[in-house]
Amino acid sequence: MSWRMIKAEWLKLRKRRGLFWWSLGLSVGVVALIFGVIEVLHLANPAQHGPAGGLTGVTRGLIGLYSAGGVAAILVGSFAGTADVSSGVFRDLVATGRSRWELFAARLPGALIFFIPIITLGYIVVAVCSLVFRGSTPAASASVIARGYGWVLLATGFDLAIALGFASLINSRATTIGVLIAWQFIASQLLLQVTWLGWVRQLIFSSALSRLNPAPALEGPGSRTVTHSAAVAAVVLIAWVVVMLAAGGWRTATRDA
Amino acid sequence: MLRIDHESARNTKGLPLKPAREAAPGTPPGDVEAVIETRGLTKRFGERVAVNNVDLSVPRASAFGFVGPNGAGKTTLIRSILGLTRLTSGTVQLLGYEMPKNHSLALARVGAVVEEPLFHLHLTGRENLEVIAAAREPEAHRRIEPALARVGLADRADERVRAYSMGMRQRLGVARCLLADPLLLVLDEPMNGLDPAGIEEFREMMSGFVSEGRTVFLSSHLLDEVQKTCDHVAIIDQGDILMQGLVEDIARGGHPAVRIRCDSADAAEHLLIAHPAVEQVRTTEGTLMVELRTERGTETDKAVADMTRLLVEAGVSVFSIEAERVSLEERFLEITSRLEVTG
Repeated sequence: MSWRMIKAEWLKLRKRRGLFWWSLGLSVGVVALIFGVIEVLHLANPAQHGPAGGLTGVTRGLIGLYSAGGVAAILVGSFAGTADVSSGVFRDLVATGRSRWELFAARLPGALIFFIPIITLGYIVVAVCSLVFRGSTPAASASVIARGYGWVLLATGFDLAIALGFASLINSRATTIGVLIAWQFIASQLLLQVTWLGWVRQLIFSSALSRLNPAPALEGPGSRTVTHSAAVAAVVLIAWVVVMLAAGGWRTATRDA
Repeated sequence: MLRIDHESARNTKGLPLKPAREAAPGTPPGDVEAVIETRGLTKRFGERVAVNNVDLSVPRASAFGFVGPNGAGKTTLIRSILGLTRLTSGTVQLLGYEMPKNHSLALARVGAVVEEPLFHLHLTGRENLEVIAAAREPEAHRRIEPALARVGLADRADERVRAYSMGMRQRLGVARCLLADPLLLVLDEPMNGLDPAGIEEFREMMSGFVSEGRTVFLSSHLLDEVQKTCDHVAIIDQGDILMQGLVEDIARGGHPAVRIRCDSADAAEHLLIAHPAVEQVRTTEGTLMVELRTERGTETDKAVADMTRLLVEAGVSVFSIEAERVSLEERFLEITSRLEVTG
């Protein structure tokens, strides 16, 4: 894998206008909307609604950014995983003699280079709004802001990697988007409530991601349905990424071009 | 204009490319008699045999036509040769390298358009070349502008491919091949979508490639085009190579035939059909097409002289006799129809 190949992957994504604007809208637009609506409610009825910013605002922003930005990450990952095969260019890339594993390996860094600035912009909106609209509530500390950024990068980057691997495996953008969104927002939330699954629920990655969230202020004590250590959560996330990328890479390496 | 550069061939570590077998150590890639050599190549899809035990040899620096009807196995064979699909059995040597074992070395100097040329439609022509150049050696980036100029797309290179006509996409496909500074160009139906002027231009481009020492492997169902463009040909049908060799030899390989114009076609046909050297006689618009069962050369000359004498003695006025020029298309139809009869 070379820098030139990563740049080429980035170029394919950057020039996809629809993908760019959707990603920006989901990452920046949604959090701006959340803060805007809550601040308007606060101004209209301060007794009923607290200010949009402060520590609570950061937590809300993180959840909003992870939810909407996660969808953007799935869109980007699924596009990066299927772009070459669905356009028919994969055959020409293979015919250059370049190893198929190298072709696959360039996809993830290329997609991250495209996505990280967008999600960072979304997080800047969260951080700025939490400060500007904090009112009389305490501001989030620099440490929380920094750790929140790290978590958003981790969570959305994880979604992107999973989507990329899965899309490369099945080569269907629409199915990848549908399956992963349904899993993330419906199936995994339901499974987490099924207590007889016991420790198996620790393998559900949305639970592992929540475990690593540095600002769980909205969740009350004991609100987590699954408890595991940070180490176990990290292992679960790494295992998911490795398995999905290995499956996608294997399919890329073995499919007829 | 791109020129062939045997010395610039390098592997990913920057070392000179060395063929795995046949050529002596240090010999540049493609410095072999046959740039494509297959032995017993077979590709099956389940029970269906798409390519059957093919032995193919493509001489270096030739324009090699690969003809066959739709579904004959042309594209499957090309895909097998390029390592795009797995072989069921058999061996392939590309530029002297064994495939798929040494695919990186072999394909580094091969440019290919398989089936229709496909691109990222949301990217411009130049950006599409950048994507492919990124997967090739670093020198490939420097070949983008000359390649665009050579195929006549320099002025339209910054438009999105979505807006390109089929002809422009064919040209861009060739430009993509040129990024490899190819010793071998594999072009699958490259005339599709081209207007007559475009076809003529394309023909000139291909002869230019051959004169530079490159080999052009041209797959087509347009037999007339192959006859005009190529010096060698292989005919494939139902996964089998029926014949391969010089175009001239293959086109000439059928029964000799003569075309006779005379004043009484019916009487002449009646006379000639009884002649021992005549295989069959057909009359079209007063002209007789006489197919002989003789070998080409003296035997045929004697038969023609004898038939002329026969007609004249019977009072038929003969206006002209000329040897029928057999086209590759007629030869192809003859070969495939014979196969249907015997099969």
